[in-house]
Amino acid sequence: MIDATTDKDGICTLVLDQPARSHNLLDRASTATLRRFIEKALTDPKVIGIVITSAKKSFLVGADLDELWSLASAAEAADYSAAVQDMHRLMETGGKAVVAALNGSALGGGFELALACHHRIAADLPDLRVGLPEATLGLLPGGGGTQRLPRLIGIEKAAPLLLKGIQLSPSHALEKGLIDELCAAGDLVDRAKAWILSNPQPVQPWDRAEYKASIDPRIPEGAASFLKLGGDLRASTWRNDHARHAILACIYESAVSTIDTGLKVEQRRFAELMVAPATRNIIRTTFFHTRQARHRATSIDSGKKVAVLGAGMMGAGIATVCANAGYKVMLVDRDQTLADGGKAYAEKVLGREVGAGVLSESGMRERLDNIVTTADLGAVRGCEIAIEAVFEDREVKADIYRAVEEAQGDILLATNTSTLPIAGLAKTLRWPDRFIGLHFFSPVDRMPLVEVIPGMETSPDTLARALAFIRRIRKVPIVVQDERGFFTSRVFSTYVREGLALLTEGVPPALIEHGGRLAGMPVGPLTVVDEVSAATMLSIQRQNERDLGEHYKPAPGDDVLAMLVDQLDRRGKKYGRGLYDYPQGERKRLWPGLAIHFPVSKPDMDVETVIDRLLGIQAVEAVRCLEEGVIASAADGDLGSVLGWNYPASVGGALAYIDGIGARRFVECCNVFAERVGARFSPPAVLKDMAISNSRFHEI
Amino acid sequence: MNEAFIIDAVRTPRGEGKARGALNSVTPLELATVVLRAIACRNHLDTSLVDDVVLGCVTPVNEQGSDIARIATLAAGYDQRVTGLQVNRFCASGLESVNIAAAKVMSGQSDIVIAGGVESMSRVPMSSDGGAMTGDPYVVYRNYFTPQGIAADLICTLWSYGREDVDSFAVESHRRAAAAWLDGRFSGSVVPVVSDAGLLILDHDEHVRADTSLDGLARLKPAFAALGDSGFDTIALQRYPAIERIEHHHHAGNSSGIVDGAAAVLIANAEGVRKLGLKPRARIRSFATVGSEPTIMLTAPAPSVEKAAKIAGMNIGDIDLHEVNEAFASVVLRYMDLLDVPHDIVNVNGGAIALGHPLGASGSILLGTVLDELERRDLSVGACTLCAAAGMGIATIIERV
Repeated sequence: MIDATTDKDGICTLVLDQPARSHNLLDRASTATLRRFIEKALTDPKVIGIVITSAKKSFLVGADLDELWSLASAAEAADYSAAVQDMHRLMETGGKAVVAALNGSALGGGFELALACHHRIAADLPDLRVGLPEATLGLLPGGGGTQRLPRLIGIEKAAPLLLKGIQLSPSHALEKGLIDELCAAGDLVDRAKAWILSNPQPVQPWDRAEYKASIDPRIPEGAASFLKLGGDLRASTWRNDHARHAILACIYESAVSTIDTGLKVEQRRFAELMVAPATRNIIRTTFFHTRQARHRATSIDSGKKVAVLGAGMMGAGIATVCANAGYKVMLVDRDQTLADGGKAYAEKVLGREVGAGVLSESGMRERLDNIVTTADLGAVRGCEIAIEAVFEDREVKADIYRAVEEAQGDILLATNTSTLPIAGLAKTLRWPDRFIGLHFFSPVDRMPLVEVIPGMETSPDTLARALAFIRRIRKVPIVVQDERGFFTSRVFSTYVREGLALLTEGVPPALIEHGGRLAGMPVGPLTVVDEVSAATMLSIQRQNERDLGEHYKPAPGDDVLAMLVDQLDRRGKKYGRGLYDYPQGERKRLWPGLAIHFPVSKPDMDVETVIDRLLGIQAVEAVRCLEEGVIASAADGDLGSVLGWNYPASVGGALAYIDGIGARRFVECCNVFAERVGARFSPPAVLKDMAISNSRFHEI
Repeated sequence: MNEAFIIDAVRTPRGEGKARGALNSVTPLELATVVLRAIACRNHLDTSLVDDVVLGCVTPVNEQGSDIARIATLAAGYDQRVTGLQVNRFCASGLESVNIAAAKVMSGQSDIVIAGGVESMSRVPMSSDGGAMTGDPYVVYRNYFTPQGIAADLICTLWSYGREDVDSFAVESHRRAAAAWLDGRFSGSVVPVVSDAGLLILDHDEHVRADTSLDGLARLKPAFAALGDSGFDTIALQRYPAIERIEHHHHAGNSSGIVDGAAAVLIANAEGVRKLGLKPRARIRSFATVGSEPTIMLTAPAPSVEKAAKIAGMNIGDIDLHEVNEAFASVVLRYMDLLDVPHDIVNVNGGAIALGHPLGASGSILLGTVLDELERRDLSVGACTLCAAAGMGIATIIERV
């Protein structure tokens, strides 16, 4: 719905206000409606200019992804984009001034609408954001964003914003030229009108005869700039970042063509992405599944005060996100210095946000003031939630739980353990019904997932409160069963272990590492070993061996870890020597000694086989988790893998991977690997059934 | 099919491709004119008998743009009926022009064609022509584009050529080139560049350094390490994931020199030879091109020569002398290893590391150089080959008559 009023000066104000939505979203119906209003204003002789603003808290925050998802063909997607583009062209070439009065965030299609206006004024509000985040969804701005932003602020400044999908605060947006003016929210429409009165019949820069692109790829210097853009993208994304690849093609077009030609190219690329499996994988997992997971929580009261016990990197990170959400936080550690160290970490994290312009100095102060450090466990008194984040030692944890229960009996007590079964930890508790596992990921301020692990005795109320808490700190929960390694550690470890298996088979270590990167994983498996440290991995392994006794199933690489720690003293990065050497002031290098202890016997192994194994083993293990009920759904498995360990979103997740290959082909592949490298690849029954019926986890 | 005979070959000396280079004051058109005039003059050509002039030029823009072959033909005073064709197959252009000329006379559609090439790298710098290969980021991304220096270093890394290997090769190139000049082995083909009034501009190859030493080269820093660090090494590793990192060994001293120069080769079939009344010096036995993996880019010379040899019904062992363009030292080291040919019969008078590589002209220059040397040594068969950007190789095999 649009509310249109024309004032005595002939300025028509269009107020976007879609019914039954908390935000305005771009969709086909709203585009058609806006077009009608624009046409009317342009043809009405009494109207001299148009102001577009919104009645919501935000201006317009992007496309309705449910509708976008339903675009079934490239042709439909192209039409969708064309309708928006045409409406924008009409606005900017209609001969009347059009001003965007951004009363709130303008993102994606919302900011594209603003870009098609002749002038952009934003309310100076701390939460307001502008930008084109499409790249983060595997999409590109298909409403002229790739063509107007480079033409408006220059390719050098626009390229990183488009490629990274950066959202800017008002002051940064002003500085970079995305908006022209900032003003108090109340003055917005008046300022817009004033601009129209003093700028009748404006022409967009790109529609002027003298317009020149900021970089011309047809001259050597310009070609070098574009070479760098293409090279950097390839080097940083390894492969298959199809959306950024397409965005770059559009940016290039903006440098050589007229706006209308550029829009055609953008439309084609948009259509290409909309039907690309990788885009659909990204949207399904990071948008639809995430939304579903977030909505799992009811909005019951999750309290006001949280105690975080343990001020290491995890504890400090948890304290930070709690403070961000408005909780009072008691950050507790063994002594005051350690606790203060945790707060210093919070200050560092928040300082980065201030630097990025997304948080004000005063906002940072306020949040830090909400974190109180202490060495006294009695501080849990008065807290509704306590989260234990100390190292993985059952006795230390038991002591802490005892003190907590003594101080505040009705508290929700959570543990951030990543390896110890919740049931075991609950044994020493007086109120195990109020105990739950909340497994955060490092760095907590950036990793959105929380694995929620109810123990045998955890009450439904405790689970509900935990979910409400997670919702409030804006994290995404998956609820998993209390099995060893839960879901994320269990499946992720297969990736690392498969890397060690390949090493023992005589595959060149560089090929294993690069195979991991080419598979889309953030780091190679051997790098993970060094980062976590072989020493830590071995101690977890030995803990499992002790706990499970004869039920312990050896994993590939068990002996490698023992050898690295016990014989070779190559414990990992923090010890300065692991599978890599860490020469001072230089980049790490694979340890040359690997050639002696793991001689290369398969120098010509195809990297695609390495990739198939590194991703395949995770998929098999994820299916086992689904079969055993560790995760409740394939959606949870995909979400857990993408948000928990940065599994490539373009693949969709550890389970969607199988959809991408086809269950039948994947089972064949597993059978081959099972025979060749080990029974760990044996396809579980669920998978075999899927192969027979050729079914999928997710609809296409 | 007709035979294609080589009647004569000339080249200019190669000037440093910089503002201080002797040929910087000469336009590329003038350079091309010098060789076209020389080949006409010393063979007493009735230019109206020439069917076509085909010139390689790798950066055919600005002064080298708009079909420099035709404009140079007119400027050289050739009969206006002689047409001109500019061709670009990157560094293979100067040999491609020879092969096109050969194909024309072999088919009998032409009888007499002049091939050649020109490049003034000091006046029209490399990459001035832009192009999608480097300028269109969509292509750069999709093709794993990597600059040539990194490709040359990748060859070192994959086949274990160390810094000393490539530097030693460079020292030897200079030693051979200097010795060849001292011995007058280039004098038969090199045409001095003089002004219209007869003032000498350049009569020798400027890039050769007789005193090049291993110690001297050892002081140079790898030239492509920083470029590699900027991301291109990572791109190369995405194609060659079994290696951990690229070892950077190439620098200005073991890579081809950037120079200005031009060359021309007179080619005719039997009918053309009869018309001209000249004695052919060699026949073109075969020629071929091969594409290779474009990131490493520079490994196609060996397969190209193998393909050409097969066409000619020859074995590699039948080739008496090889001229392999020294784009980078590792290119020739790899060529010798792949074909198992000894260094004593490869680039016997030095190569582009010492003499320079005027991109569009080099192929024609190699052809003249190998022909001169075959005659001097009284040998029969020579092969010329070059690697070219985006993963191409070219080869031509000639045989004295």
